[in-house]
Amino acid sequence: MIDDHSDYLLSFAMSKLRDIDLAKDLVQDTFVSALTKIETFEKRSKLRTWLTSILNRKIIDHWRKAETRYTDPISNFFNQNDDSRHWILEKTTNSNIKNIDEQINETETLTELGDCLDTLPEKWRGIVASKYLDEKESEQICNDFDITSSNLWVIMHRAKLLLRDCLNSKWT
Amino acid sequence: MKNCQEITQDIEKGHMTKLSIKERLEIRVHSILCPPCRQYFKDSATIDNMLKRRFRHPEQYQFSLEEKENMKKNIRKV
Repeated sequence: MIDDHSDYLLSFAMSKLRDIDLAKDLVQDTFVSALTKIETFEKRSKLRTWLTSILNRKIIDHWRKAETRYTDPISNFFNQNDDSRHWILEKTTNSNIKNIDEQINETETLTELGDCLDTLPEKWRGIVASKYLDEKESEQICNDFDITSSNLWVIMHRAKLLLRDCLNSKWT
Repeated sequence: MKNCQEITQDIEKGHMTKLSIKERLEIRVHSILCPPCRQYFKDSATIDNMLKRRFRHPEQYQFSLEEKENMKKNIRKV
């Protein structure tokens, strides 16, 4: 089981987390949990899918714990922007994302995007991963992260602005 | 009239759910008058696309052989 699936699970965890030690711990926990409840595994589903769902649950639990331990990103967001309704106007002077995306080689662009993702608050990064990696429905993401749907749009919006700034700054 | 923050937030909402005709019209009209929001509309779609590609090809990570052996030992204890 470990030989067949551990690298896959680690890569999966690392596309959501940025801490390799944490990712390794969670993968190990996943195998432990899997063994203790192996009787709940239904033979017709794939072992890898089942393991991934256990790991995913652990990652979500981690984010929820991190949430209470650190600051609340949503309230940060509102505090930061209360006094600047036109903040977006100031930030858009020379955005050139489309050119960056079209002209620079694919691998390089995506690596840079990965670096930019690492600068997002952990929870936001998790939300982005849930949307684009797991392709989860908005409703499911809101449930997992315990937020309302308008919180979700605000976070995606804010995350994209940060990503845009980050990408622009890398090529100017 | 909605301000830029509300409009760009609606643009984001549009990536996740279906907007009402009123909301789509508001975005359309506002964008005609407001270059930064027009820019955001484009950038948002571009970044969306980049994120999709990025997560389709995640980076690969591996445990070392030693780590795997350790894991096996730890699990056997359970």
